[in-house]
Amino acid sequence: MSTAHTHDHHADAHDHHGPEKGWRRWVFATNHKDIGTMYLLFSLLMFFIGGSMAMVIRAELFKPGLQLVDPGFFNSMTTMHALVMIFGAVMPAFVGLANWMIPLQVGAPDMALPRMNNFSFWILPFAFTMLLSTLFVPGGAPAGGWTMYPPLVLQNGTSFPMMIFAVHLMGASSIMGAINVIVTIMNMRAPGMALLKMPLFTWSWLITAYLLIAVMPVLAGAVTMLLTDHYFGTSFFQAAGGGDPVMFQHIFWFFGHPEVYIMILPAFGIVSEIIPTFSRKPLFGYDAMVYATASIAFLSFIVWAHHMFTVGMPLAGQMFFMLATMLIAVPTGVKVFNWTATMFKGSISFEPPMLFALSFLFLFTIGGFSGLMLAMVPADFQYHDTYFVVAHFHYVLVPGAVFGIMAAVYYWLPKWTGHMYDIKLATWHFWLSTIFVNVLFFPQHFLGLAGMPRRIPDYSTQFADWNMVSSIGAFGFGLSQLMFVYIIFAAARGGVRASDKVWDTAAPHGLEWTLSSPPPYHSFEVAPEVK
Amino acid sequence: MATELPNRDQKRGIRRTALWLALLAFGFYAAFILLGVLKAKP
Repeated sequence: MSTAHTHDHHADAHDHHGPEKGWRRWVFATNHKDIGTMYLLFSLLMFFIGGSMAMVIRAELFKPGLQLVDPGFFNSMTTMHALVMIFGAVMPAFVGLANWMIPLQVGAPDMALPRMNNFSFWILPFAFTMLLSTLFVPGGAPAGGWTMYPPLVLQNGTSFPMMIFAVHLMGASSIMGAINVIVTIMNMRAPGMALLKMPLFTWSWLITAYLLIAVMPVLAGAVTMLLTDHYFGTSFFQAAGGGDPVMFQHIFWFFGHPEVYIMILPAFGIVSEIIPTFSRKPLFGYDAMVYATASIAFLSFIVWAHHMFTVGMPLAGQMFFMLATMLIAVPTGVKVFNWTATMFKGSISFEPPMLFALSFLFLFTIGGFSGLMLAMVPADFQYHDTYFVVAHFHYVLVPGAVFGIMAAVYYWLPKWTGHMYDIKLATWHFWLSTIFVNVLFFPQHFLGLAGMPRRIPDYSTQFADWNMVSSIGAFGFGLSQLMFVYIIFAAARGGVRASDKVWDTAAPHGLEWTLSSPPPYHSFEVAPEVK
Repeated sequence: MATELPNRDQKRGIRRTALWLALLAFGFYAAFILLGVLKAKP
């Protein structure tokens, strides 16, 4: 499997040093595992901060009649919940997983640009401290929605430039992370690891990283123009000065739709690793999976205007964006088919990672189907800005992206820590999460179809029952996640030792399982040879 | 034969790939601001 190499003195000195002691290990971290751990912990913290905001939203909507918070604060909660969850929880979690796993999967000693890796992580705490501190400035936190549409967003007070600066920082961090991923994969693969031999998680991240490099600068450009409109007298988006507010929506969604795939493609990769392992079969249609992922990424660039059918656009435009959106169902269908075919006649076992992967498969597909409904122009005119949209994208992002992250944590945590976690507790965590996530989001389809608008702090009594059910689901889901934290930290502290292969009775494959659990400080000091 | 990872060839590839990607990212940033400028009515 691996070739033997000797080392000179310099290499010896480099290879055999361990982590620094104390706080210096984390502040000056250049090791991919340390940085991956920091990303994952940061993401967990943001998941709970964003989750607390969701609890405020669902508590306010528990029953009709204003009860708990001021409507302006409610609007801040919906805006901040989205920004924190997207840029603070989901994206950093995937970058953390990339940091941990890509060098292990491609047979590299570390990420290609370790100092930049440190910088791209440490930008984030500053960005989010700035964003969250807007809760305490005069006028309150941003409240115009995470989409930052002008002219509404230009009416924000002190929080406006803070939000814009924070978004720029998050973008810079993401771009640097993406550069690091691509550079590592393209230059540091082990001998013999051709592109079409790479694990699917690494493949999905390679494609995601290209998406990030293409669209994060577009978001940065859009918010830069917002900033100059507000402070430097330009009129990019101000109708009074000859600008066009709808142009912002076009630019924003040129970023925004690929962003959705940035948050789901790595989860596709994770599921493509887990299902073969616990089905004890090779992945069905590996090449097709790679091409389907690339097709989804390509199509994500030509569907943006389906987010804004109601602004008014030529019929030809509506038709194009509707049909292009529906086309995404084809490569996505290929993936769902291949996952199912992988399980067909497999010897399946239901460990926590597999449970989360299966839940992902069923529930993400529900989100995909409601997406197809929204793609239809005449139907979208009815659904637009209702709770149906909220239900749709939460099905994609919670049992989709978040369950993908949880599946990955349960799959690789024993490899990272060297300890097996409490399987029984993790199974409980799975069932509670799956039941409550459906109680939380499924009724929102009914609310939306009945006409309940999104982003409102109060509603007509006709929507009372399903809102109460949804809020109960939210509280249950939120509380269940405390188990996740306990399981992770308990495994980090100790427990039954995990073997190198971890899932001995299943069929894990990939270079990461050839290393010890936990892996050595420098992952592959000698490049393994892939046959 | 001592092997340090990344080796010299890899380092050159790393620098070149990183530079191209950074340029690509900057290109997207500049292009979309230019789009805004070109669309603006005087």
